[in-house]
Formats: sequence, C-alpha cells, structure tokens
Amino acid sequence: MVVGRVLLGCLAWMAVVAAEGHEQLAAAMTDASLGEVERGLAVAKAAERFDSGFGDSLVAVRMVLHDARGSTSEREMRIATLEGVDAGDRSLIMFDSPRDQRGTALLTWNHADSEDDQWLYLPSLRRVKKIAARNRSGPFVGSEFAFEDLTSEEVSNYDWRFVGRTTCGDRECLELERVPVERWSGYSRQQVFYDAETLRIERIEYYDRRGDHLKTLRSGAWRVYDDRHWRAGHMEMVNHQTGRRTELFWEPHVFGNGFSPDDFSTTALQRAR
Amino acid sequence: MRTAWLLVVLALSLPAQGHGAASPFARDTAPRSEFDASVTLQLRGFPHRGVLGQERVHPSLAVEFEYYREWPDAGSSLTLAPFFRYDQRDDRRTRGDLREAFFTYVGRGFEMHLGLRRVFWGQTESKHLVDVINQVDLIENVDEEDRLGQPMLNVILLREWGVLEAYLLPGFRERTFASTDGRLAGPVAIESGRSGIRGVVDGRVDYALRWSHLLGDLELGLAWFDGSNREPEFELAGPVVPGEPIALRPRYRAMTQMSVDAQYIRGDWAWKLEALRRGGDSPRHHAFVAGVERTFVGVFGTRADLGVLAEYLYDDRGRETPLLSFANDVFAGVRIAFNDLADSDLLAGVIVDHRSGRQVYSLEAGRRLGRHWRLAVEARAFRGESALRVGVLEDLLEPGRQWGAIVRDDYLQLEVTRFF
Repeated sequence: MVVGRVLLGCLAWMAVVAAEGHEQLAAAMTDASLGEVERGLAVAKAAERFDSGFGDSLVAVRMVLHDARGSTSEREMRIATLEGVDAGDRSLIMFDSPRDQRGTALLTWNHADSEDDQWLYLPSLRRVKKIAARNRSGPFVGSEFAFEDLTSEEVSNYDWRFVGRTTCGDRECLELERVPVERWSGYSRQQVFYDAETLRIERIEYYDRRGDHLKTLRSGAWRVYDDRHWRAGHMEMVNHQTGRRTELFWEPHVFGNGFSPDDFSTTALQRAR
Repeated sequence: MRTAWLLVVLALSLPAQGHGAASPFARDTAPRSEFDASVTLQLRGFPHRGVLGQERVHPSLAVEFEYYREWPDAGSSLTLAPFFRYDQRDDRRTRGDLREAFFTYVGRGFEMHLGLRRVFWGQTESKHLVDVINQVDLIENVDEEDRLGQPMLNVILLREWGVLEAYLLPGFRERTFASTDGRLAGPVAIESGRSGIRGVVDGRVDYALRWSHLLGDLELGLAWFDGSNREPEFELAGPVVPGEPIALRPRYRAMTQMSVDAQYIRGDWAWKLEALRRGGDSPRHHAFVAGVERTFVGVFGTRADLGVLAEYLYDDRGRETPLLSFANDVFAGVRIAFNDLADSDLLAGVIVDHRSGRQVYSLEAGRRLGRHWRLAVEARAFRGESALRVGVLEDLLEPGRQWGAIVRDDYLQLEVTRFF
C-alpha cells in the first residue's frame, strides 16, 4: 500500500518535470516575440532541462572503426558520468580493449564557462597526464569522433540559432544551428536536428573551419529511461571528406549508481577499472 | 621517526568514517577478479662490442601478469603483478620480481594502499627528476622509466584544498645494474644488482609527503621526502690488486628532498617544471628540468597529432653529475600520434650537453598488429668525445670519463608483445 503510494508520488513528480520541459518547449515555440537566436537558445535549454536529473550513469560501448578501404577495428570501453549540480558534468572513460590499450582511462571535467579539464592515465608509467584543450579537436582514439563531440553538450559551449521545423524520416524535427564558443574547436558550425517531441538529438551535421561539410552523426535504436532520458543504442559518424566512418553500439545505460565527485578525481582515475 | 608514527596513527583513524568504492565502475556489486598477461620477445642489437667485450646481440623474453580482485561491498581490492625475464646474455637480467602487490581500501574522502606499489610524480618528459618513491630498475632500460615496487603504507586525502599523499616507506631496494656480460653498462663491474628488499636500516623508516592541487590552469605539486637516496654513489668494492679486475660498490646515503612539479596549460601550450633540492647526509645539491610542449592537431592536413617538446636540464653538481643525469643540457623532441586503426605512435628526441657537446639520441615507436599483438622499436645513440682509459682508476670513477663506455652502447631494440 505504502509502496504503491510512493510509486504514484514518483510518477506524479516525473510527470511534473517532463511537463516542465514540454511547457518550456511549447513557450519557446509559440512566443512570437522571440527572435531566431532567443528561440534557438530556448529550445537548447529545454532539451537540457528535459534530460537533467539523470544523476549518474554507467554504460559499456563497442566502437567499430571503418577506414576508407573497408578495414575495420574494434574497441570496447565503459563510460561513467556524474551529472554536475552546481558545476559541469564529470565523465570517465575506461578502455577495455584492444588489450594493449587496456587500463588507459580518460577523465573529463566539463565547465560551462571555461575550458574543460582533461586527464589521461597511462598505466605503463602509472602516470596521470593533463591534456591541453586544443587536443580535443583531434580524433578520439583514431575514430571519426573528436573529443569535443563526446564532451561538449553544455548549452553555454555554443551560440544558438533556431533554423526551422523539418522532418527526420517520418518524425517532426527542429533544426538548430550552433557555433562553438571555444576557439580551439575544429568546427565553424553544426546543424543539430532535435526530435520535436522528445528533444533527443537525431542528427548532427558538422562543418569544418573552412565551412565545408565534414561529418554527419546519426543516432538510432533509442531506449528511454524514466520516460524522459533518451539514449541511443546505435550511432554512426560518417566523414564525408575521407570516406571513413565510426559506429558506436551502446549497451543499456545503468542509472542511480551512487557515484560521488571523489570517484571522478585524478586519484580515482588511477584505480578506475 | 616521530613523523612516521604520526602517519600510522593518522592512517588508522581514517576508516571509521565508512568506506567508498575501490572501483565504482564495475557493472555489479559482486566481487570480481581480473587476470591479464603479456609475453614480450625482446631483441637488442648493438653495432659494436661493449667496452668490456660484451656480445652484440642480446635476446630476452619477459612475461608479465596482473591479477586484480575487488570486493565492492568492502571498498577494497588486491593487486598482484609478478614479472619474469629471461635474458640470454646477462644473468642479472634473468630474474623474477613482484612489480606490485598491494591492498587498497577506499574510504569517504581518502584512500589507503598497503604493500609493494608504484607511484609517479612529475610533469617533464626528458627526465623524471622529482619521481623519488620507487627505485629505478636500470637493468630493464636506461631511460629510468622502469621502476621497482616499493613497500609502503600510503594514505591519500582528497580535500577542497587539494590532494595530500602521505607515504611510510619501510624497506629499501637497491638500483639494478647490468653485469659485465650485460648492456648498457659502464666501464667497470658494479657489485650487487640485488633487487631484493633490504629491511629497515638503523631503525630509520623513510617517509614522504606530497600536496598537489589544480589552481585554474596550473597543476602544482609540492613534496618532501626523508629517506634513502635512490641514486647511489660509488666506491671501490675492495683494495686494488694489480692484474685483478676492479669493481665498484654502490652506496646509498640518507637524504632529504624538497621538490616542486608544475604544469601550466594555456591553449596549445603546456609549460612544465620539475625542481628539487637535496640535503641531509647527501651532499647538498639543486637540479631542475623546465620546458614546454606545443601540440599541433591534424598536422599537415593529416589525422596525426604532432607534439613538439623542448626542455632544459640543469644540475648544480656539474662534472660530478652521474652519467646520463644531465648537468647542463637541452632536450628537443617530437611526439606523433598517428590516430590510425593500429594506434601507431612515435617519440624521437635528442639531449645535447651544452658544455661538452655530447648527445643522446633516442627513438621509440610502436603499432598494434591485429587485436592481440604490438610491435615496438626503440633506438638510442650516444655521440661525443671521451678520453676513457680503460683500467685507469680515476677514469672509472668520473662520470665524464665513463661516457667512453656508453658511446659503444648504441643500440636498436625490437619488441613483439602478445597480450592475453
């Protein structure tokens, strides 16, 4: 009986939060006084609000790298994330395979208003090494993903502009343009396609610093947690200039792990496994 | 000594606050075990015979294991890492060693490690100057990056004001040196080479403290060490008898070391510094390494990242500075990460001594073959004059003259590793 009441309470609370996200989105879309910049920012914030409150997550992912000649190579890793309360999110990536890379780990502290901090753990030397910010526009472990593609989801990392309503397959999408604020970014702009109902990102088109179309990221095989946290089960990043592509196969996310900020410290990085 | 006991009391008072997670990222809470192993075939080729007549080709085989066991419910884990090498030329290099064997307990805001363990301090690339906890396993490689496990009780506190590491270091391990059949080697036999653990000497227990913190873009570490100097001095092993070979015996004095290590990252640039002052029973001396690394992402329109490194090495012992410790030298190097499917990488550099013009060239490169193999190439070359008179006592003891032996030790090393 008590359990039932608690459950009902939880459902009601979740509905409230989801409704807030929807209200925020509805306001952003209907307020005629908003310019395209304000509307873009409002949509991005609604999407962030929609996914906030996940707390922490742990997920295993298999990465398949395809080069232009059709050779493939695989990597396995686990990604732990702690949602920041007053600060940005913290994440830790642990590499499990190939075996010569096993034990290597990467710690990132996202910051909304300054450059992110990032450390690499090199197990053979037992050494933790802080990495320069610029390195994040380079390929992430040889893939078509850059570091910044994986860690730059803070709204304040971009200047936003609402482009218009469009379709992604048979669903309605909202197209936004975002320009990275960080001057070390490898991109001049990105076109981001949000699903109009769930605000999950269906597709991102990346333009290099010369303004040419560089890459496209497509996400699918969606899973939903708590009715509001959408996580893709499959992602594919295609590099149009080189013909290379990288696929990510995500296992189901595990939420509510009880991670603490200490688990995302440079000392914890040395024993993460 | 009093400080040492203080550390023990501090360590024992901590667990009362409840435990954390040894590795919070396991996928369930059941105890788990992991077992890793690798086998490496190493082949070293030298263009010249050694100054003591050593062979030109040195094959060896190394096996490394790592066993890890974790009890998530108790916030603790156990790590065991035995290592074995068979070397066809050098009996001293044929050995087994426990690289690590330690127990970890993670609490709220602190962690504790007990056993044989390895830690790294420092920021620079050409030399790991302030990295003092673990003895150098010189017989493995002259680059001083291989280290012996150090017995320790290590307590780490995580606080708002930084990370405080305290080390109690009972037992001391001697530096390993190649035998007169092995390479790279000096012009004379060096006694010992025992890598066993010596007990507490004269009731003295070594200890160390380190504070480190991230201050904006600056990573700063300050450390204090009171214990046996890991760097030996050499004395004659016995009276000189004409016609009999001479041998040197390493001697390890007590010392105190105060050090600072820092890295300041701004955009593409990383500025690095390591500096120390040693005193106590060891002759007082200062040394530092300072430099910069600049990274170019996607260099020349490729996928590769290029890092350019420049460092200056100073040691106020001047001529007395031990061989390959660099008194007044400039290092320049490049690091390339190819960002390809095989994780190919390369590090090449040269250290030039300002005064004598002597040079040490080095190259390290590697790539994966398939899923389970890795191929690595390493080469070093030593250039510059030295008037070593083999058999003349004064020459054997002076680092500058010892150079005459190392110049014959240019080598090319190939390694193939199979991971399991």
